[in-house]
This record gives sequence, C-alpha cells and structure tokens, in this order.
Amino acid sequence: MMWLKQLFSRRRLYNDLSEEIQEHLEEKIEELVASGISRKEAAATARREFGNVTLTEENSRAVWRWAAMEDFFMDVRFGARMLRKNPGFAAVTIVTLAIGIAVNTTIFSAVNGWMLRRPRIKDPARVVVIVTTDPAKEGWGWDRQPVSAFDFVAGREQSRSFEAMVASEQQEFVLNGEGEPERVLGLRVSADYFNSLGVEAALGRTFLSDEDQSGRNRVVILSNRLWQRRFGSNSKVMGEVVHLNGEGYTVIGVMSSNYRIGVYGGPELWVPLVFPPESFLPTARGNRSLEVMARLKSGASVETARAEMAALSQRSEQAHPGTSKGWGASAMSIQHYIADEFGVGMRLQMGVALFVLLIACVNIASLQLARGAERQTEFAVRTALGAGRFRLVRQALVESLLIALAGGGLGLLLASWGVDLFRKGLSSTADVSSIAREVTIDHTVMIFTLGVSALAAVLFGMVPAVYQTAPGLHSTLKEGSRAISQSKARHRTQGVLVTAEIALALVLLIAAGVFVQEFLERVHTGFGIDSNQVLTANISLSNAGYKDPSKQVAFFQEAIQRLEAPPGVISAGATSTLPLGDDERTVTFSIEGRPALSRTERGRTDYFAISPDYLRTLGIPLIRGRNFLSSDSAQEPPAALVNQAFVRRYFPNEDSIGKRIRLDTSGLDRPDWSEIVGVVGDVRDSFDQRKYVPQAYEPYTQKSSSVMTLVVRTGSDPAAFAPMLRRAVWGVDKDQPIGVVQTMNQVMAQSGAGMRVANILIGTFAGLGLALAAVGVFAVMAYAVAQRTHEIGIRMALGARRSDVLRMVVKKGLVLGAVGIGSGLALAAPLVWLKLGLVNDDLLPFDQRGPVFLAAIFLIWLAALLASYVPARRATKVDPILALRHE
Amino acid sequence: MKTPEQRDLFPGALEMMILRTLKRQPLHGYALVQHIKRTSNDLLQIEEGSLYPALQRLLREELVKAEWGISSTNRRVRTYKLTAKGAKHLEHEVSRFERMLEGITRVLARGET
Repeated sequence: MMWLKQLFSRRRLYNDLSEEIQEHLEEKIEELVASGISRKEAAATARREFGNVTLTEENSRAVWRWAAMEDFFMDVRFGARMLRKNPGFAAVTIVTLAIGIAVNTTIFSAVNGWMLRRPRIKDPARVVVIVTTDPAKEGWGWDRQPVSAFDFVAGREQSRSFEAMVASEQQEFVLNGEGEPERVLGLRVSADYFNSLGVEAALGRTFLSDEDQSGRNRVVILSNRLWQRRFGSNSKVMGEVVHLNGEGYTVIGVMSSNYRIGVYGGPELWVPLVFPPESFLPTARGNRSLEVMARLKSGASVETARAEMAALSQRSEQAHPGTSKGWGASAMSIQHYIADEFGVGMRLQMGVALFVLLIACVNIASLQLARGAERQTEFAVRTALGAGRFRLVRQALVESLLIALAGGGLGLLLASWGVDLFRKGLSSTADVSSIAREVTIDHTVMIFTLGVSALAAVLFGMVPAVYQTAPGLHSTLKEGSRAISQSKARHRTQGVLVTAEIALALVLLIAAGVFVQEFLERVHTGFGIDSNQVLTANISLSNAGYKDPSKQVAFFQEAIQRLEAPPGVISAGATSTLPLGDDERTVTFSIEGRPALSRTERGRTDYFAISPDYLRTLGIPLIRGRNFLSSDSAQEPPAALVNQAFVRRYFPNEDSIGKRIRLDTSGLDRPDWSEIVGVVGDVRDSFDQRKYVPQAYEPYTQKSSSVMTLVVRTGSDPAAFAPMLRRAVWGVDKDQPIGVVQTMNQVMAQSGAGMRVANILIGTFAGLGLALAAVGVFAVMAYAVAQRTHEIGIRMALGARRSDVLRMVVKKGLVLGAVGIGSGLALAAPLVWLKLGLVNDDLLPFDQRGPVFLAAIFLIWLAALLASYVPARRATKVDPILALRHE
Repeated sequence: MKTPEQRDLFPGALEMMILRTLKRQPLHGYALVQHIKRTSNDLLQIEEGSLYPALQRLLREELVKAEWGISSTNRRVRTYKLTAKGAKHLEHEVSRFERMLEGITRVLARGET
C-alpha cells in the first residue's frame, strides 16, 4: 500500500525536493562567494556545475512515480489540450479518419460474419467438405461441384482419412396440415449426419443409425423456426405425424435455433437420406447432387485427405472408364469452403476499403506536417528544456493516438449506420436477409476497429512525429517561424505524401471502375425478355398424387387455362426454369448424323420445358420456323426449339430447322430424337452472365416437369393479379402450395441485388477516396500558397502578372499529380488482369478496360487541377504592398 | 543529455557510497557531495543530477529518512539519516561489492602474469 501513500503525499515530496535543491544551489553560491567571486558569477558557476535543475528535479520526481504510466497520462492530457486548442484541425482529422475507419469496419463486419465466424458444430477445424472438381472450369472455386451418390459411397468405404463421411441433399417438401399448404426447404441427410458433426437436437433426438433403411426412414427433425411458426413451439408435436409430400413422417426432434452450417438460411426440416438402387450404377456418376462433409481421423490433415480423395477418384475413373472423364475430387476445411463463397469479392472490397483508410492517413499526416511550423518551435523549446527525442516522439504519437481513437469511435458509429444500409440493401428474399443478418458489429469487429485505429495512428503519426522532433533546434529557434515552415525537407515530404495520395486514389478509382464497368455491362446487355407487366409464381408438384407425368401435364394445362380466362390477362404460360429466377439447368445433347460421343464429350445447352404460350408471355421472339403448338402432345413426334446462340455454336453454316437433336434430360439416353422446329431469341440465364449461351426448349407436354413457374402477362399492374393467380391454382387443387408470387421485374431486381450492393459500396468507397485525395492536395497547395505569400508579393512587385502566378502554383499541383498518376498506374497495372470473383464469365477484354483507366486518370488529374487552382486563385489576389509590409 | 563519463561506475555504486557516508553521520545533500569529493581525494565527482534521484530512490526504499533542520552554518537543510533497514542493506551491498572486487582483481592479476 506504500504506492498509495506515495500517491497522496506526492505534492509534499515534490515541494521538499524543490526546496532542497534550491537550498543546495544557494549553499553552493554562498561558498563560491566566500571564496572571493562576485555573486553574479558565482550564481552562473553554481548553475553550470549543478547542471539542468529542472531535469534533475524531474528525474528525482520520476523515482516516485509509476513512471511510464504517468508520463503516458500526462501525454494524453497534454494531447487533449492541444486538440482542444485547435478545434478545426481536430475536427478535420477526426472526421477524415472516421470515414476511413467506418468504411473498413463496415466491410469487416461482413467479412467477419460471413468468412470468419466458425460453423456451429463440434470441433469444426476437423471437418472437411469434399467436392467433385469439374475439369471444364478452372480455379477460383468455380470448378467445385457436388458429389454423386456413387462416388460418395465409394469414398466412404475406401478412404482412410476420416472418422465419418456424411452426405446431404436439398429437397423441397410440401407440408400439409392445418392452414394453407406450404412449401418448405428440407435437407435429406445421412443417418449419422448429426452424430458426426457433433450436434444434438434441442428437443427429442437426432437420427438413429438404421433410420436410413427404407421403411424406417419416415422420421423428421424440425428446425426451430418451423417448429415455432407452424407448431407454436408446442413440445407435444414430438411423436406426431406430419404430412410431407403426402406421406406421413413422425416428428422425432427439434434443432436448436442457433444450429446452422454456413451463412445461408438453412433448411427448415431434416429427413433421412435414402439412396435409390439405381444411383449406385456407374452411369449415375454424373448425377452430382450431394454435399459431402467428413470428420478427419486424428493424425489425418486436410492435405492428406485431399491427396487421398484425388487418388480415389483417379482409381474410380480407371475402374469405370468413360463415366466421369477428367473429373477429380478434393477436400477443404469447412471454414475455408464457407469463406470461399465470398472469397474474391470480399477480399476486393476489403482491399478497396483499406485504400480509403490509407488515403485518409496520408491526408492526416500531411495536415500534421503543415501544422508542424508552430509545433516545431514548441518541440524545439521543449528539447531546449531537456526533453529527450523519445519523449517528444512519444508525445506526438500519443496525440495521434487520441485522434485515432476519437476517429475510431466516430467511425464505429458511422459503421453501425453503414451496416444498417448494407443489410437493407440485402433484403430482397428471406434467404438473402438471413445472410445479411450475419453482418453485425460484434466484439471481433470492435477489436478490429480498435486495432485499425491504433495502426492508423502509427501510420499517420510516425512521419510527422519524427519530422517535428528532428534535432537541429538551434536553427529552428534562430530562424523564426516562417523560415522553418519553408524548410525544404518538409516540402519534399509533403510532396511525397501528396504523390502517394494521388497514386492510392488512382488505384482505387481504377479498381472501382473495372468493377462497376462489369456491372454496367450486365445491366445494359439485354436480357432477351420483356419483363414489364409479367407476374410469376413457382409451383412444385411434390404431392404423391402427381408422380405420374400425365397428371403433371394435366395440372399445368388446367392451371394455364384458368389463368388465361379472367379479363386483363393477355397470355399465360409455364416454364420448368425461369431465367434470372432459377439456376439454369444444363444438359448434354447429341445431334443426329454426327459422330456419337460419350456424355462428357457432348455439347452442352441450357434446357427448358415450356408451354406454347411461354415465349409470347415473356416476349421472347420467334426468329424462324414455328412455335410449339398445343398439338405437340406426348403422342406426336418430339419437337424442340433452339436459340440463336445454339445455332451460331452448333449449326454455323447450315439450316438448323428440321435437324434432329437428343437432349440428355435423364440418366439414360432417350430412344427418340427431337426435331428442331424453330429458332428463338437469346435469353440471359442470370444477371452474372454477360454472354448468351446455347439454349434448347421442349414442350412440357412431351417432357413433363413437376416443378414449373407460371408466367402471366397482364394488361395492367401485374402485382394486382396475385389473388387471381392463387385462386386459379387452388381451383385446380386446393392442397397445392404456391411459392413466392412476384413480378418478373422483382425477379430481375433480385438477380442483380448482391452485385448492385457490392457496386454501390465500391463506388462509394472510390468516391470517398477521390474526395479525400482532392482535399489532401487542396490542403497542401493552399498551405504552400499561404507560406509563399511574401514571395508572391515580391514577384508581383517585380512585375509578374497574375497569370504567371496562377501558372506557377497550378504547375506545382500538376507536377505532383503527374508523378502520383505515374506511380499509381504502376500499382494498378495488375488490375488489367483482375478476374472478378463474382463473374463466372469471360472478362471484358483490355480494349474495353482501357477506357476505365483513362477515365480514372482524367478524374484524378481534374481533381489535382481543381485542388491547386483554388489556392492559386487566392495567390493571385495577393496585394504586393500588403504582402511586403508583412515583414 | 548524459555523456558516458557522467554515468555511475556501476549501478548501485552511488547509493552504496551515500549509505556508507550517512552511516558515519547524518548529512544534507550539499554536504554529501562535498564529503564524498573530499574523502575520495577529488577522484570521484558526484553529479548533483544523479545525487538527488539517488536520494529519492533510497527514501522510497526506506533505506534513509529525511528531516528538515538547521545546519551548523545556520541554513535550513534537509538532513538524511540511515535507517536500520539501510544499515542492513549497506552491509549486504558492501560484502557483495567486495566479493565482486576480489573477483575482478584476481582476473586482472592473472592477466598480468
């Protein structure tokens, strides 16, 4: 407790010390006087011999203190006082930094929520995801495909790296019972799925190991969400039978609300996964639909597992040649797998955000340097009084730290607003919202913000700190304040900072430009459809009563008839895959009369099964030949339509109409060929896709589908027709659930929503970066002009014209701009080849990216010009008489 | 700023000399400087800049205590006095120093032959 006593008796201690030292000096002086020197001389000698009184006192006091800590607090107090004394400087630096930090915190909360948060399963570090790799695609994760049942079972039996290997497959179920029939997303999982992941049910139990046997598999586990929504969180539901797709399942458990793998919304229920016997035929190796996870044995690593899976898939290819030529297998940690979903895009965003922060730091550093004139005198005086260099640097850094913390705090506030905007931007569907909900400011994000703030403090504080405290105090004290401020070294440093700032801003602009350009390309490439006044509704016939294809056809036929009836409806149709709404379905196909190829070597095309009026309803033009007719029934010879891209690719020099193709819509080759009866316009599958790809259509009457999207073209606002659509469907079957009913324009908006948010973000960042850089150049130029008022006055007195002065100042700005642009271009060069992660498509060639570079350079140049022009104008207003009288 | 010559001979040397001097008689700061200078035949110059921090350290460790009083020359002075703890510490330090000195001497002597 002594230190406590010391803390309170400190003042007396210090007073004693001061007095004692004074007395010591006095005694010394008196002694010297006694030896016969004059009193004045004696005082000087005593002082000289004693040394620096203040420093001695300080060092003596230091003994009593918890030195480092107290010095720090003193620095903090002093720093705060300095900032209060310069509210303008404090405000500008804090706001500048807050912008930089807010941008980083916002993006990091997304990175944290999506890529860093661990899956909520037992020991996730030991769990790997196993994927099939597609030889036709390369890198960036685009080659990752699900696994076939055949390969899964082979892998589970033959591999030695794993304790357990489990599979899951998504499936939609119709849940019947009280209330409207409802479609829910389910996951069919291996019986030991939850056991292997180490996850328990919150209520009841998970699956038993024999519940994947046919006959014992009618059990279901509910998600917490479904349990709440549909069963009122009633625990009596346990043991009850619910109806899924018309079949009874016994409820055995409810999962906890925080169980989730990955960031997507996740399934609403789980049932055991039972493989039909035909899925074990080698020919079924191409049916890849399983997501496979495995838990590593102790001793095995992700690398050894990956090597083993690759070897197994090679062996499998040799054993069953021609089934999956060139396809491999790989393993990666589950965390890595989840993070990769957001990989390149998020990294790019984070990089861009970092650049904004760097520009902000450079800005503050150069502001501090500009302010350095007065500070340098202050520091020189303090050095003269005995402060060490280290002390001064620390003092300067503590001041920077104060700015950084204030900026970080404000930045966190701004970021919470940014995160809000971010989440609002991602709210189009329940799935997207559930992803967006993961973006929060949690303690990891706060620690990140604190760390970034501290790092920023060092970044923008170090250069000025070292500069201002540089020795050479004699010259500083002698020269007077103006002379110092014009010191060459400082100007050079400021020049370097401005150059760096321009270079950073240029890189930022180019990166954003390339990104936005890809986006705009997609906005402006036609979609191939007329989306106005179209209502869509997804219908999935999963009730047991619709197993028979003719029943499916009958259902949709009647539904379309009912939809066409009401006044105000122009036409109605149905498609198995809605462009922009559903993931495209790709099939292989053969052309009659050309050499027979194995499946993996055949051509590929998007595939749609449609009703005759589908094309008219979506406004897809018929180019040549005829449309499907209602007479193209199952009894008639099969007909097909292809798009122009199909013709360009596969029939470049011949007439495609009348040719026959065979589309591989099932595991086995069909016996009959379909005749191409017409060519239709190209339609884009998704927002991400920029180029048109081959597409083929067949009449749903010949190739039925249990899942179709109804499309209705209306004469007025399509949303108002939603009740009519529901009535029509329920008129056919009152137990049939209806998926989301939305207009085609809504479907399109959602398709590009993620990319739009990303672009708004990156565009905003680039704008902020440019603005900060412009402010930085402006500040430095304005400062330089203010410092040169005297010199400009002399020049004008000697006959320089205003235009000369203007040119002189602007030239300096432009030279800095040119150097900055040069170094920025060197930094930005790799962006020419940057492959954007969210674009599963060809890159825009360089001749299209070139203009982006030019535009960015022009913008920066303009900013530098403007930022130096305004101060230059001010310089020409200098009145020579006043400027000289200043002296 | 300190130059090398101004540094202590080795850490603790100054404190040891102060304690030893105070063991003989209580003294105030100025007298301490004078005494050490005189006793060492002007070989050792005590810097006031180091003396006062050293005295504060000894005070803090309660090896000495200080009291305001009037000196023989009729000045108001702060006189330092060895405490029991200080005496013990001095004994310990001196024996440690002697052992060290002996060691150094031996090494130096060996070096000469």
